[in-house]
Amino acid sequence: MSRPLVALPGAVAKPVSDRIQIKDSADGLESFDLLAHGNAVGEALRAALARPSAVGAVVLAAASPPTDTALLERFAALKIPTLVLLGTRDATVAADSGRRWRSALPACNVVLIYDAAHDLAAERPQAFADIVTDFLSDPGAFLVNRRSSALQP
Amino acid sequence: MKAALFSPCTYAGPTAASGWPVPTTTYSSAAAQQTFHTAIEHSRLADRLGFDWVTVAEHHFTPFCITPNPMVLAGALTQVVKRARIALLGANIPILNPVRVAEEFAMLDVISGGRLIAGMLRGTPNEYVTYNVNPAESRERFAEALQLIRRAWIEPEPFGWQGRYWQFKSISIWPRPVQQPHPPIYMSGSSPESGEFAAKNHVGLGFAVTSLALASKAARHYREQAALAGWTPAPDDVIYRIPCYVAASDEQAMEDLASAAAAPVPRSISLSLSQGAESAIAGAGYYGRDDAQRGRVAQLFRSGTHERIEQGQMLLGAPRTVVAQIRRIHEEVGAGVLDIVPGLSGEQAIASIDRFGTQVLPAIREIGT
Repeated sequence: MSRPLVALPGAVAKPVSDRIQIKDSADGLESFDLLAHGNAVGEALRAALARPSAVGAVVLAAASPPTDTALLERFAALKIPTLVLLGTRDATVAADSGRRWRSALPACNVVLIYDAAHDLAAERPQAFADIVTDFLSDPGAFLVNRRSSALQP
Repeated sequence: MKAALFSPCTYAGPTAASGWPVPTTTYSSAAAQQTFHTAIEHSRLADRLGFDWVTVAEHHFTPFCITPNPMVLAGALTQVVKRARIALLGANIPILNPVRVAEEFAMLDVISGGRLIAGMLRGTPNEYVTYNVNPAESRERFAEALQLIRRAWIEPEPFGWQGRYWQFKSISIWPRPVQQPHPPIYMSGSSPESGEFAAKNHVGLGFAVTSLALASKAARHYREQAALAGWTPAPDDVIYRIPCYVAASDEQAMEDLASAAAAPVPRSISLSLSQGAESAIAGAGYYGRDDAQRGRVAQLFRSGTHERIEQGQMLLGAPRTVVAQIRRIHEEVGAGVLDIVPGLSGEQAIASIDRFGTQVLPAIREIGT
């Protein structure tokens, strides 16, 4: 992974992976990816709008789309690859909100983290880290399984 | 009460003695074709007689039931069964690809015009050998698969699934089920765990290879757990499967059964694994916390005809007698759907199905209403 991942304040969900370099701030970074959790998603979208050419990809975890539709429209126009993660046991943000993300950002990928409540990274750390790493390593190829499934060489 | 006719599709030819998986050394394709022909004709007859459902099941590597993929037989049944619902009891979802199951169920619901009953089972223990799945993970895989299948049915937008046992990047199944939000779901289970899971997940419960005493205890537990979860199962939420042979008189029924039992039946109906494999599965916690009841059920099935009738393991006799036996099942278990396994074979099986449809079914309609 070439770009560091900037986890915005409030991102309680932080992926634990030695393949991800996490930063608290985008200050001084030429290019970076963004991660936001819960109520911080609006901030992530605004951060992307502030420096669109520096942002490679965006991961939004356990969040509903902001009510600010103008903000969503402006972010959608940037066409930055976006992954939305939702927990199937999240009592705060229903897994159904994936539909609203898809109507706001038609190109976004929505992935449900099975059996995870609101704090996705704490609930299923490996599942969270794996999907984030997979996405950020090559957002354009995300849909394609690039791991070997050979059981034995 | 409602009535269903189960087509077990037991292979109609001679097979090897015992054990599982069963070798195909004596296999005859004519016998296999005959088996499916019989199942389709029984289902057609049941539909004409007013049975509410026809049912099919999933088993692997055995002549006991030659429908490893019941979806295929159900697809054929949609074209001959014009009115009755088609129940798959079921798909063994822990050993299958849940997205494929959701797609196949949805196809069947569309082709049948919304008549699908979607049973989802853990299957018999041997099925975990079939596709090389660890039986210790059976319940967890079941829970995840059920949730994924439901989500695939109802979700209008593509979604990925980061599960424990399955991962998909983007799912959006076509076609969608006709029944909304999705077809009725049933699971099987006499164990307390299964009843609790069914209650929590708001799905129906089916009993097979059980007894009145065990099923009524399990059904009571299911209802209590459903009440805690804030809902009340309807009579239709409980299915009771039982072999059934209806003759013109009680004496005739006994006589037919005795002569059928005396005839040589060189066929294996075994799903039994070796003792080592069986112990490994029991040791994996497959049977749940009331494991002891397994032995009791096995014991009950070795008893004589009268005991088996008394224990609710067989319906046998003249139509009036069978109605009384069914009434007792309803009273003790609260089952609203009776899934009968045709007793005996050939013309006797057809005559029995016919008697059930014309003389038993009209009389059990009012039970529970």
